[in-house]
Amino acid sequence: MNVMPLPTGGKRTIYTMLVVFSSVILLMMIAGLVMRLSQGGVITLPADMFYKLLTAHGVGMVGIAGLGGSTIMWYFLRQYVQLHTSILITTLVLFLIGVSCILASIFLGDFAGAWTFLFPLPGHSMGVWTNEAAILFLTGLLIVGVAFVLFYLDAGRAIIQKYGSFSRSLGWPQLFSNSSDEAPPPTVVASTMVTIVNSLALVVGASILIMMIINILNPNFTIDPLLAKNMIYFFGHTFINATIYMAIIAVYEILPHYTNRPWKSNRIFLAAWTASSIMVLIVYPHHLFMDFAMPTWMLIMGQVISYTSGFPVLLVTTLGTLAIIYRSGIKWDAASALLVLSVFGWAGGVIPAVIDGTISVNQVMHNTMWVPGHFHFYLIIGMIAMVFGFMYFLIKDSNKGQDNALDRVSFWVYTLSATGFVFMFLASGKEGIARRFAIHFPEWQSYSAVASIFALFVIVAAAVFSLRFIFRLNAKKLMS
Amino acid sequence: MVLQQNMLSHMLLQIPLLILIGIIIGLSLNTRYHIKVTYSYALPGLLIASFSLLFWMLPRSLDASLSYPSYAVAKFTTLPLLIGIPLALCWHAITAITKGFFITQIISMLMVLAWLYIESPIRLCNYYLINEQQQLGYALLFLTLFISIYYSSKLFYCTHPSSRENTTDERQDVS
Amino acid sequence: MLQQTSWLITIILVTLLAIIFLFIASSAAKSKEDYAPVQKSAYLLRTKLFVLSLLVLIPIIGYSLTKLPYDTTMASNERVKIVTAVGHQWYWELSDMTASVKEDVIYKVTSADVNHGFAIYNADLEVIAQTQAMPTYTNELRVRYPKPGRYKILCLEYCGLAHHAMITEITVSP
Repeated sequence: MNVMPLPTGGKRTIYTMLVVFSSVILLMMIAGLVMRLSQGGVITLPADMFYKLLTAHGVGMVGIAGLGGSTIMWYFLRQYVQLHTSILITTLVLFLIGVSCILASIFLGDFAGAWTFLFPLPGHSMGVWTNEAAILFLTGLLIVGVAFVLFYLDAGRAIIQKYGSFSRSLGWPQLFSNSSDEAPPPTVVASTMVTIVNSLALVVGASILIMMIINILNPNFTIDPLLAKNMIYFFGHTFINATIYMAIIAVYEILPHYTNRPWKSNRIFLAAWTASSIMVLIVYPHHLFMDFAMPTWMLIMGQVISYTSGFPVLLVTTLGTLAIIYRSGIKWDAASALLVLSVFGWAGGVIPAVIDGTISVNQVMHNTMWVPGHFHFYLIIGMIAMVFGFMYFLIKDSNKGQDNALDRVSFWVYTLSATGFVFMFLASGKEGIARRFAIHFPEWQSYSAVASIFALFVIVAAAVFSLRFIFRLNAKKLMS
Repeated sequence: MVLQQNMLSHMLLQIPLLILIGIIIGLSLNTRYHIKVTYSYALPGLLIASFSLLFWMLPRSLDASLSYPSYAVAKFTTLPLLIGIPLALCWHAITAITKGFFITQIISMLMVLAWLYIESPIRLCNYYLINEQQQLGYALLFLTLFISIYYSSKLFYCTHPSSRENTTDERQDVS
Repeated sequence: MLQQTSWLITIILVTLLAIIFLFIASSAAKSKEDYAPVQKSAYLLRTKLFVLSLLVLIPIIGYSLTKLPYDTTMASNERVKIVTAVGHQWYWELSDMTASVKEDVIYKVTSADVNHGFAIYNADLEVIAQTQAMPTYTNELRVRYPKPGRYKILCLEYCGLAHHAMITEITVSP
């Protein structure tokens, strides 16, 4: 497989996207810290401000995870297929326009309907925010959605142009009919999967957003709240999961550089990705276990698929990572360490996730801190570590790209404090502490206070990673 | 006309048939006179087509076409002329991404439209009953599902011509 | 109980995973071996792990699915109390604020406005059961209070400005 070089315009856009990524991540982490401090009783935040920050933190993190994942996917997919830089730029610009609408709706319009915008809350605030603010928020999300639709359309077009069809780029001839042709590389397989599932998720998401906008404008057009919930979680679950499935490409592509061991698609790898593509689409009912009105068969399917959904890809990726580094003479630096950490974070986060995916456990854990516990686990230690690892990899080949003690210390600070941070969430969940509460009972507060300390260290380490990237980028520009 | 007696057949049979007539005219024009539409003309053509389609999807326009002769004439002329012919002539000229964009937009819009017809508490057309309206909604939902499944499965089994020779396609502008 | 078990299982499995990662990572840089034999044994291990997890997970799934909270049908001679619970922004409206440890209570939970979460907390602030309170739907939650005392109803689905203050109390008699 001959690898195509990246065009200059594409490179510049990728760097811009990563700078946007690090800035938003840091801001949103600070928002998270402020919320934890307030829950811990260390500072006093008015409830309306807390819920505004909650909404901003949720939507901001999901959006930026999507952008970070897309950056990785584009960068590596571009080496195999002809992607358009112009579409990537359009995606970024539309994304930023959408984000501005969302920020305006929250901080100017006082919108605080949470990022899950469950119907009918956005249009039913009891006078806290106006309908206009809610419409602006939903429109902003719609614009962000359109940005990603364009991105996946280009990816899908380019993949089909090269491979003929999605069944080929998923490696089905190799998987089902013993084709002796070389299987598509892992990057192409993962990108195809994400393109398919996210296109479906975004079409459904766009529909519910438009329906909710119409409903706010004319409440005579009612929406079934359970249908709305199904559509929102189908969209939300698929989208946030896909961020990991995009970011994992960095592991597949970068670790082989360090160990001189190739990461190729074999039949088990292809089977795992095909299985996960289907399962990620039908697992979302596990968000609705406590909606007893749902058809029971869907909820049972939700539990069974929760146990198996991420499992195939996770197993091939975790064992693949361990095998590729095992006695390989790998050279440890920030990039390789963060990428190996990220696989641990993903696999580790799945453990509390699956436990909560059990209906009987969910009955006492649902919407407690256990839930943010599990997803912060695989987002902070998994997904975000993948993007930071990728950023270190990008600046490595420049002349000044050597790690020093600061990077090494930051890596360990990040690892340990992030682990401490997520375990405080999980411990809070064990204690039954509710999530999304602006004010905590006194007996709950110490958990949040301790978590704030860990959060502070996470932010410091993330700031080092981000600043290092920006400074080296500058140095590189000056030299060329 | 018989097709207009029922809302379903009016919207999902008569209108598509009129568009189809336009498409056939467009295709025959294409083969006879070899009309080549470039990208810069294709996009406005398709925009005209989609706005005209949107107009005739509105219950009020349907109603008017039954009450006023002028609207009826407009319907029978614009559906083939402004939707069918541009579709036939322009669809080939746009890039895959624009095509995909149109298709995803249409799927989302149809889904929303289906919901509107199903949930509407008021009779939207004077000529048709509210239960016909709901039937139409479910039919649109079915159509949406069909289109989504059709296009998704096509992506799995179509084989792009350029990939058969396994050459990298350099014609696309890659900046 | 379930909370403690979940916590323990999580700690044990995550620690195990961390040890494996640390063990392999710590020796990764020291020596350099050929990939082929490593890959071969990794594939073998993968198959074993896959089979092993199936053997462990299938019974767990099967067992846990016998504990579903959804079935609220009752035998005709049972003594069951039926209570309606309606969530409002931002208060609970219950037809009965009392219960007894001797009887099962079926809460018919719904909402007058947006989504709420109807969660019952015991005196130690542990969740004992919950269901969603949704507009236009009624979810039936069957509860047997384990011991007498005061229980709290908290809202566990974000519902706006005073979501955290949507609290009411239930008195359970012996």
